Amino acid sequence: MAVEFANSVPTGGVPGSTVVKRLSGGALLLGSLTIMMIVVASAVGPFNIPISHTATTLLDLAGIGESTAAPTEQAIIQSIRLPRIFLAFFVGAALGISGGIMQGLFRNSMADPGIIGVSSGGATGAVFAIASGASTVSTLFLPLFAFVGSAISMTIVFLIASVGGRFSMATLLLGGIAVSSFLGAVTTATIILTDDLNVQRQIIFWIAGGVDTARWESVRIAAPIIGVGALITVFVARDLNLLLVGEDEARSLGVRVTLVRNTLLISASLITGAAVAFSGIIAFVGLVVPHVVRLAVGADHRVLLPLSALGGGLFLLVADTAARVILSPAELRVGILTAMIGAPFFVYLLVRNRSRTSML
Amino acid sequence: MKLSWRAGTVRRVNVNSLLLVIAGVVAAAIVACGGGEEAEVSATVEATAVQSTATVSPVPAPDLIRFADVPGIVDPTNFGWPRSVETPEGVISLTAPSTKIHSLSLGHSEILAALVDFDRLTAVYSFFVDDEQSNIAALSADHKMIGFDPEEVVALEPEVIIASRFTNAETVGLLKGAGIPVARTNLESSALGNIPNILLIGYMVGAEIEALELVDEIESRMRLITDGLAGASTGVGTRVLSVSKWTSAFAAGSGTTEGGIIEQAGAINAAADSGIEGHQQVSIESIAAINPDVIIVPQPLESANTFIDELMSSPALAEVPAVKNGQVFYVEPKYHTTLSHWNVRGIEQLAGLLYPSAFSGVAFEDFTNWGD
Repeated sequence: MAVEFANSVPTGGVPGSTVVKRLSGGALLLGSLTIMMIVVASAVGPFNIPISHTATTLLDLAGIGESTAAPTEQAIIQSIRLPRIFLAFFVGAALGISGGIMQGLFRNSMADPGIIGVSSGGATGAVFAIASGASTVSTLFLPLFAFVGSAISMTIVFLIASVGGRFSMATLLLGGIAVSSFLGAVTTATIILTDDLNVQRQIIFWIAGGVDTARWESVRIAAPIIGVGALITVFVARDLNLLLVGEDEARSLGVRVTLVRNTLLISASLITGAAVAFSGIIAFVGLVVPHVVRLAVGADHRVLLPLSALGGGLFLLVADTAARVILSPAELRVGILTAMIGAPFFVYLLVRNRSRTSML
Repeated sequence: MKLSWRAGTVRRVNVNSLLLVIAGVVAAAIVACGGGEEAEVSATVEATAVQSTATVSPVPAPDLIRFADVPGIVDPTNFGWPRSVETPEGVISLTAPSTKIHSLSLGHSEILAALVDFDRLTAVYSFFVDDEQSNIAALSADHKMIGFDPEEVVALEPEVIIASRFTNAETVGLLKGAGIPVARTNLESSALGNIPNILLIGYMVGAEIEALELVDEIESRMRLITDGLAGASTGVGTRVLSVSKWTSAFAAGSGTTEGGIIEQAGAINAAADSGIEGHQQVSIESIAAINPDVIIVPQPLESANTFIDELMSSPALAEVPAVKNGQVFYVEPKYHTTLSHWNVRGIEQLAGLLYPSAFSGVAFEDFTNWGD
């Protein structure tokens, strides 16, 4: 799979006009769908709000006209639905772009954002915050601990991969698997050994993943980290293309291999860490979305990464909106829906595009 | 008038002594009537020797007739030993009142604590000592504690194990495989609906009289609630939402312990009324859509207060009657979340909250455990 993956990747030689055309076309399509979805997601939910009230409230927020919605309706749109919508979008974007980076760096289509232990580290950090009681001190402590956990986990895996002074991607991958397994065991042990049922419940529900606890504070913290990280990766996307044909070849083409690789790994890890910190572990987005985008627009990372971000954001937004309304007034965990929507769709694409898939 | 039910005021009577007295009276009456066949007298007298290896079924005393309709009792006329019960785990035969009973659930342990000396329970689990979640925390604190490994249960050499429907099948299979009789009873979310289970458990452990006392107490307490509700002039039909927050918020819909308590307290379970079944995740917006008159939060006090603050300060809930009228309450989770007779305390507590005028003179008290 790895060789096939590498052979299919353009080496930066695709004409710039083609890249611009694919990127702008894809961005226009996904951007339009995202805006439409934001409006739809703002309009639907367990609390029935007339569409005209939603529309005037959104326009009011944009500085156009005045909302005709009742105060409760405005409060629901502004303080519940919109933060959740934006957090879902940013988390999905983070997982989508991180998945694209990891699949590219590891030249393995099975790679996902959590492959080097970032998600497990985030989970362990969150578990520590819950078990220690820190999460009850401030609502921001839980994501903070999760983010720190992700960062520590990433650092440990990097140190493992750099033992002996020579960085190895294979060791990074295996180290990530080992650290993930270890941290997963720590999390499980904490759940089993704790005497406190409340702690057990909080850990289990956090790990299940979701953006239902979104607040504007969450968006304000997560969005800049994810946004900056995503921008950085987009700027080095061309070098990622070159890296995929081999480090020596890339070096001969003027790529500062170590810098590019580390930039991508650290950015992807921080982006994932920020997402995990606010949403827990949401599976399948980082695996499926880059695949789907790759099938649609090819494997050039200059196009793939930005569109994976947009696609991931849109996908999670759709899934979370469905999670809110399918069992209304109850909700589904969004992770359940991402898997339920993503897995069959993924299989459908694999079967439908078997000939193209074999080359990815 | 100050109504009060004080559990445990009825003196606990040893079942054997009572049966002995009953048998004596019956035998005397038969002899006095001159029509007593020896066989009948003999059988009745034999039944008094409960601890012996008697195999003849005695005639049940009048109160014991209540056991006749209890599902799971194989021979409702047999109050001697051995006796058999049938549960979803099959038929088990009990040769004598067990002195080493192991309960795999908190709810069963709470019931057993009311029926038998707690020392007859082989061990407890760590969460039994949490006094916010457990009604037997004090008893459990000094008791042997074990983990969740079935091997630890086997090592206790219990004579009978009582499991709930929540106990996983593998654990039950392992314990049965070790040759230990396992009975699984399905505790109900209705206080009165749970009576057959209490009687079955009492029958299994040879605590029929204690089970009848407990059932009498439950029925008396529930009558008090029913009478109070009948006299309540306002508030009946109040829509109550039971919701807890564990990272995400979860509402108790139909089929839940909390939902059962709400309905038995004369209110409408707002979550079930909105179509929620079981415990389901809800958002603040969902709570606004459910639009309850009263919200109860059955979770530990500290986290409950945090959640209540969040509910009370949410602008999205400002017009929800429960929030608008300050009807958001912490309720003790140990009465609301464990299936046992202690749910009646939850019903009493909630009824008192919802209809204060109807129960203004009532001093509800806790149940007592065996020997208290």
